[in-house]
Amino acid sequence: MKKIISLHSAVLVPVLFLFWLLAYRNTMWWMEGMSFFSTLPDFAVLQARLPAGAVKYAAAYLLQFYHSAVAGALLQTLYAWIVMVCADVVVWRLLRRADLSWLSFVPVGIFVAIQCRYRTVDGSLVWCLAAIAAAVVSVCLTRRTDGYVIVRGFWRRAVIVPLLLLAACAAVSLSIRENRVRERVHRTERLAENRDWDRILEIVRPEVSAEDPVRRRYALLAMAEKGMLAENFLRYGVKGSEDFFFAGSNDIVGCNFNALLARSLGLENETIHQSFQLNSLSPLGYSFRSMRRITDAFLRDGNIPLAEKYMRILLHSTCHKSWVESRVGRMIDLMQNPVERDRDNILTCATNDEPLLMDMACLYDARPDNRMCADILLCGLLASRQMDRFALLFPRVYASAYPGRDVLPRYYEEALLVLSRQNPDILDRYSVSSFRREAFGKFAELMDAGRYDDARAAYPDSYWSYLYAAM
Amino acid sequence: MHILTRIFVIAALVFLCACSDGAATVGGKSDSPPPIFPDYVSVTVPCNIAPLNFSIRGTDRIRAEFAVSGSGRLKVEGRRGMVDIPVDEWRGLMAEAAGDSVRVTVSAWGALNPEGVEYSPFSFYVSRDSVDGWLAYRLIEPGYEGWMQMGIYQRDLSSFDEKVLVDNSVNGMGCVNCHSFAGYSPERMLFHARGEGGGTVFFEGGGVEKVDLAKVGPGKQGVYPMWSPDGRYVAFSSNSTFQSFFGGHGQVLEVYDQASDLMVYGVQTGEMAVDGRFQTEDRWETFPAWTPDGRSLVFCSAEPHSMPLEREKVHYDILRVGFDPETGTFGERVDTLYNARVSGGSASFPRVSPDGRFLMFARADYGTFPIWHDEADLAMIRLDDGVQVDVSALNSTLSESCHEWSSSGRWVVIGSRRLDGRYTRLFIAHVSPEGVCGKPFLLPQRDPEHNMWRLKSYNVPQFVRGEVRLPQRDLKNLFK
Repeated sequence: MKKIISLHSAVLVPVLFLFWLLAYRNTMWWMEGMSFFSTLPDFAVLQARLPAGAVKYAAAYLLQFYHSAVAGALLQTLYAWIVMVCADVVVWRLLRRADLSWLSFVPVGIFVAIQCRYRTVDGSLVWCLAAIAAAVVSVCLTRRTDGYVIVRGFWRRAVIVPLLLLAACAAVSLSIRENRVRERVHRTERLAENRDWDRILEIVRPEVSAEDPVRRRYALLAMAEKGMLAENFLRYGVKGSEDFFFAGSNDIVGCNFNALLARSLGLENETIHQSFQLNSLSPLGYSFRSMRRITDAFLRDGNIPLAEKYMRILLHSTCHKSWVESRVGRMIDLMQNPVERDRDNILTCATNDEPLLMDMACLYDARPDNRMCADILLCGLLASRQMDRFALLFPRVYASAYPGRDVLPRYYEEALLVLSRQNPDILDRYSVSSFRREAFGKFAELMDAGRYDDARAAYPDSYWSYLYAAM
Repeated sequence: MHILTRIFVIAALVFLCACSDGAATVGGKSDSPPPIFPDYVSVTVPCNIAPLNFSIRGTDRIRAEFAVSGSGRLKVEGRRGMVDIPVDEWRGLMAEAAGDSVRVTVSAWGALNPEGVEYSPFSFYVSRDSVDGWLAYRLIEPGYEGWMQMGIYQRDLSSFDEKVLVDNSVNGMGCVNCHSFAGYSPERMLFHARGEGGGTVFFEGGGVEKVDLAKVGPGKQGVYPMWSPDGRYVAFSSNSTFQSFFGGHGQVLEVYDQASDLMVYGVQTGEMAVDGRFQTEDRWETFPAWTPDGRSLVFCSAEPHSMPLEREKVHYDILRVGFDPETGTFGERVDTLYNARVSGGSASFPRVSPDGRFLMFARADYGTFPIWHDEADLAMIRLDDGVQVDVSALNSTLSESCHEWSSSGRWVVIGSRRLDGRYTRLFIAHVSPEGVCGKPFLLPQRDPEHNMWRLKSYNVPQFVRGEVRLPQRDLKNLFK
């Protein structure tokens, strides 16, 4: 029996460990972030009152370790290993045939395939408990045997069949589109969390963005952060101003993105608001991702009491000591040099037809030096084809964000050229490249000749094509 | 040595160390009072309050000696910078000190003072006025839109016991809010349960009943309730409430109404009494409260404005209208008790003291929801002559808002965000018969740090004379 378990373990552990580490690294990162564990009585008592509280609490404890991909992969493997050992015991007790020992990999394979769909580890723990119960029952109800008799072909069946089963289950897991999409989205979320904007733009290419509305928003955010939005945004499949964030969002993906957008814009209250929303949407009512983000927002805001509160809360988990320690220096700095913030009450979360434009307009009014906000606002106006409002706002933005610039971003130039059809003087005030002027002239000629499709085909990514798409 | 024997020896040593009777010597003295948290220096406390455990951050060992009339009565040693006073000994001390001051001498040892330091003693006064035994409140995330878990809880004020009265596990994680008790009775309580299958739950005579107020009278949902002292009526405001968020560095959010009216529900008749004067769109009426005789209602009233853009123009007055409990009708005369245009600001949460002499309310610069206004303070009017009484002792630089009188009128509980600006915590303050308010003290907790890391905010504190015993099974059945 020990030999069988050792042999099966030698097959299962490295395969599954590598599978999780390579295929679902970002999903495990996400699972840790959306979970929460604390020894604080408020949290423990709350979990105890909820259905399946004990399992959830145990799962929350284990999920803390998923902060490290290696630890997460090991734990994911451990659950499958427990199921495998228990299945080995059951097979041994019930069948007593060495040549059928591979049968224990049938439940293991099913478990692995299902495990990839779980977004927490409650289900895995339930599987483990059920497997242990089955093993105990089989041991209690059957007589002890002397062990397997190694028969011919045993090694092939004990190694190759389980390997094939595992490979099949892994393939099934990876063939499920939802699993693949989830991993890709979580990867992008992770890069955004770490402000790795270059990497986001490397993996979310325009053609990818055009097909994926979630990652399109991250690409637009990355471009806004890099100051490249007005140069590129229409190449990424933008269809309207709503593509820049998740308006009125009440789901995890949307709140997470909105919190990151607010962080980038320096809207600390909104970052905290969206993070609280994310908390309430997480399975346990709190999430490490939100708690960490809220802590950092308060630190950036110079709010010592609340930053300290959340740091102390995080210290009541198992794995956040070093994370908190990494913020202590900032805290000490704040104590020595308190930050005085203007009380700028900027309305956010507008509930009208144009929430992005309303929010950005309020922010821009309060902080006209916020170039990122200005770019999102102007590009949002262009995306919603509001040329009049663009014409009104552009001079203000130009004066503050682009004073004396020889070269304007592409889409601002193209919008100015459109405006120049009615107001030619506008080109005297702003520098528009001769190359762009020529191109617009050709585009206009084609349009004037009624060759709309030819015009759009000649300048597929241009603002002109976008603006006159309906013609 | 056997492993168990070793463990026993070590445990015995630890126990002996923990029980050592103040053998530690103090290296020096300080002229300042100890920097204890919570701040209990010079407060007045009821004689039946739970032990005032406190901590000094940055210290390890701590010793507190409590003396009454010059003689030592209780000595407590603590570790981890915290004094955990045994409840039984504390009760003995309180019984002896009622009507007198307790002088506390604190010594502490820590990394900064390894030799120990004895701080200048401080005192607190133990009032003979006891406070109602229990306090009910809601615990909820501080504001924002969503939640997962919330509940209404009750706390034994003479100990640290906190119990769930009802939480939203009964109604599918919906909202439970706005509890009210009739005459501080633990046997008459109501609360709202929102969401699918929701309604207003009345607990009376040992049973629970769910009423959908939207199907009674004018067909409006009840929001802020106040049960009349005799239990025959519940005054409700019906509010269309919204909130706007602010993204920057200042105010977090603004909660506002876009319509609100008054109505009175007859508990025995099941009928809703309304008055056309308080059902119009010309004024917004909210936060009804009964006078102790149950013959008048005070409430807030404001001229409507376009919200949220004109939010700073909304200023609520406090009005009073008579009510005849025999006929269930409103009186003709409406008095203005607080005129916001004259006195400034905007009033919320009016509450009349049980002796009928004082009206306490929250005052912010504008709007109806002072909880998110840092400038919000408590204010008080003497009803005899309308003169404002100084209650600055209750206030801080951050928001003070929801408050409630004790049944004796000698205590008020107030919700304040003075600790961190965002999480409401409960403070209790003494009020003399002349309306002089003492320094508020933080609701005692076994671990004082509990106030800092509690994940939820307190809301709608209400004193109750005894423990509320809701029939939990019947309650769950209401929502099946």
